[in-house]
Amino acid sequence: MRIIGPDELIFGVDNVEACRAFLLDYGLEDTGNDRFAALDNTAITVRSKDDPGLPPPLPTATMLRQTIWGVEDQATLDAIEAELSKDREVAKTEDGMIMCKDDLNFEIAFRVSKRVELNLPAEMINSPGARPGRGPNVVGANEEAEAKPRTLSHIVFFTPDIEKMSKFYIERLGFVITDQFTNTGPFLRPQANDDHHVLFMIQTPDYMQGLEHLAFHMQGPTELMLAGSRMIKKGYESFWGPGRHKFGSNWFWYFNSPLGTHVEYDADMDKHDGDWTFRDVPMSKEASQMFLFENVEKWAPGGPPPGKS
Amino acid sequence: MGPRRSASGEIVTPLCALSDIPDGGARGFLPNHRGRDQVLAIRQGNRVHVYVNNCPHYDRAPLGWKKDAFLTQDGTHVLCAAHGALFRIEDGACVIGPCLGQSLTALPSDVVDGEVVVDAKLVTENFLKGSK
Ligand code: FES
Ligand SMILES: [Fe+2]
Repeated sequence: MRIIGPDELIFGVDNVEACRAFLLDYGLEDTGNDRFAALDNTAITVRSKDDPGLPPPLPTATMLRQTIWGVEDQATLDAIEAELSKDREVAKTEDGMIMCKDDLNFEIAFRVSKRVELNLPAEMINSPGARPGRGPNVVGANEEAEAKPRTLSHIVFFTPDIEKMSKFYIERLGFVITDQFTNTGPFLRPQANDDHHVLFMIQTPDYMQGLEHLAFHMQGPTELMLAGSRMIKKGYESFWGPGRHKFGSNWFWYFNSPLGTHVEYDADMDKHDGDWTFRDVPMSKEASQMFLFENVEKWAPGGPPPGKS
Repeated sequence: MGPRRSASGEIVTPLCALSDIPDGGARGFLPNHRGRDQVLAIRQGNRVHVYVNNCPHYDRAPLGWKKDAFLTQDGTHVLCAAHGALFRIEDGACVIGPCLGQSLTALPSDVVDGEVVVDAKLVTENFLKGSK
């Protein structure tokens, strides 16, 4: 199944105004109708939780109403429709999107991806012994850099039945396990995406079911730090990071959000193909990150100690 | 403004004037050395409810999404902006979300001559726990 990754997430929120402000400050672009897009047109849409047009909520606190997966072409869409129609009701919108529930009652949908192909430079670094990434007189520390999220990277669910849920994505939709935290859950990538993970899940009691976090890819670690620092400056609440994960190797910085989920910046994630054998380790603080920092107030070195001249 | 003794002898920490908190609204106070507010105070008329700014779900989870942004839009509940848990303002009990059955940690507080004061002992403990 040529699924690429999450194309768009639909939320039914408590405070639409706060979500708008948050998503704009986070760096997404308002494409109209409360849809906020990354550079490649993957997006988050926010509606008031009372909006009758939304898919029904889960009986938990999560504000996520629907995950729309982007697929490569119409043939893939038809194949998914045929596969899922075997044992559930699959609805279809006028513009050809198919909608149903997964095996844990999360609302999901599939469409031919609305992503546009990006052709953008990577973060360029200078490293002794290697060809310089930036030529002479090209400055690396650019406070004015745009630092816009490039693409919707991954989503992480709290799920009451990790076995059942991962089985659905693996057996019915062709997702592949890239790594696994024993008794917590697997990292999964779909077949048309070589990113380490677009989907991860964490086993929880059923009253917790919902979205743990979502993440967008940034250009690189520097852009991630710049975008995160801007959020701090605007008064947003950092939750975890910056740091670098072990599984996936991606840099991370998570923020609280009025969408009732953590919203992450990530950068520089590993890529995998069919030759990779997944690792399986117990979840722990050590396994969860290679290192972890926290933002502190700015500081500069000076001359003598205070009070001396 | 540091801690001082109240008329009845307990050590209290002044937070602000009652009028500094909009009626029906909330504000964060007592920032730690990283700038994170350690408590939130919610005003309802002449009453103030003060809680430690930490969701019972995770041991290092601040509640709000932005400076002083702690409540649902209708002002009826505290919202955890990590996974959406809702807490009653009167007693801090979680009514829906990952910490169902648990509560925010309340700090004894009072309004004295138009000034909000709290017993911030628990904040120090929480602060020490967080900085291990
Ligand atoms: S940390 Fe508050 S609901 Fe999860
Ligand atoms: Fe993540």
